[in-house]
Amino acid sequence: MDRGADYSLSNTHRKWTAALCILLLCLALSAPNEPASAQHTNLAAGANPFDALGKLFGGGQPEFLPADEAFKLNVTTRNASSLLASWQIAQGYYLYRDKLRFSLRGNGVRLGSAEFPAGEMEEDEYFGRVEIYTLELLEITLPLRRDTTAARTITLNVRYQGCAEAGICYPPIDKQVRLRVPAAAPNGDADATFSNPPGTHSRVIARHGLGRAALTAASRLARP
Amino acid sequence: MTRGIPVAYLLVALGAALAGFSIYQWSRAPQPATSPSVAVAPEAPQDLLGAPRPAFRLPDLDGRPVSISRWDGKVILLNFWATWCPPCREEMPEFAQTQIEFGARGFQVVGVALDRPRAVARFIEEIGADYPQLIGHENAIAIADRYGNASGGLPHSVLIDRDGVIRFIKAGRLSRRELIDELSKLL
Repeated sequence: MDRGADYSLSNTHRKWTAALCILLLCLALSAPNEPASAQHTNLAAGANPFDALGKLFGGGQPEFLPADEAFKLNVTTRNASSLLASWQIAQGYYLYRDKLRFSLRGNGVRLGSAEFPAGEMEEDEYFGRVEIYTLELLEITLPLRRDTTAARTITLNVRYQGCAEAGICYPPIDKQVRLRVPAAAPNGDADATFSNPPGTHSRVIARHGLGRAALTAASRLARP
Repeated sequence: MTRGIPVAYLLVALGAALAGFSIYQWSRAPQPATSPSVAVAPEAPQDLLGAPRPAFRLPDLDGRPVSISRWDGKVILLNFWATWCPPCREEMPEFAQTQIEFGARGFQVVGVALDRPRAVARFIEEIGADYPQLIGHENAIAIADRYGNASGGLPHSVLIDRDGVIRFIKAGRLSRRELIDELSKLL
């Protein structure tokens, strides 16, 4: 008697459980669109859940590197009579040759004419023919004119500017690099007096960012 | 007996939840739209979507300080640009055209030029873009950064709705089609 009552009670519960199960399944089946579209809205900031699909299959935004990652500058002392400025240029990015600038502050040490490698000529709708560097490693030798044979600490100012092929351009970048230049031999054999391994003295000491002077220079350069 | 029923409940509910979750996962699988969106867009700009626009004030071409709040209540396209930036120069005539077409419906383009006023004035006259321009230097870079410009590059465009909320951020060239698509949600 008790068992029978228990059994029928259990049956009732099983029915309810089955109903609950079906309800849960239905909820689970109807759920996917909700969280997905909520996430779309959050990510793409649009009410349309197909926005993100649109971005995936065409209008996707490329992620651009900060300038210091796109163009990694390193300056080394090659010997007593030259420096080497080099950039690791990220794939898909380029530097303008005519916007590269070097100047030097150093007691008794001056810069000679920089030795630029040949770049690629590009036709720009606004700026005409421009020479650009898309090299993975751009190296520019900077000869030094010495008024003194003594070792010197110098500060090299470097300005450069570039773009990403996918469609952004960076403001001019100014860097100051402090280097130790070894003593030059009195007979002019600079290599013989070099005593420090290249690369050990290169230190970027400041990034000026976009100064008024840089802007002015860039605008002047950009003037059609 | 009385203990058996809740256990059965629990098991069935657990089974249903597992089945539901599996089906949910399965049904999500062919819709990979959300995760690539995360991968292609930098994190900081994503965080700004839905956030109130940062306040700022910059001089206009005549040197008078202007606050971004001047255009409150309009749908604003805030475009950071410079004359030395070829992709910026490419997109601006289209912005000027869109301003003409949608201005009456409450659309307002505002340029922020990282440039000299004279160079800006010459260029906008050349292309016939007569929407307002604000001029900045380092401060404009800092403002662009607050508007989600993670790379520091130009152009950088931001759409702000009538309530002053950031709704869309674009690093790089913004096509007319994309702009109008986004505008249609806000106007």
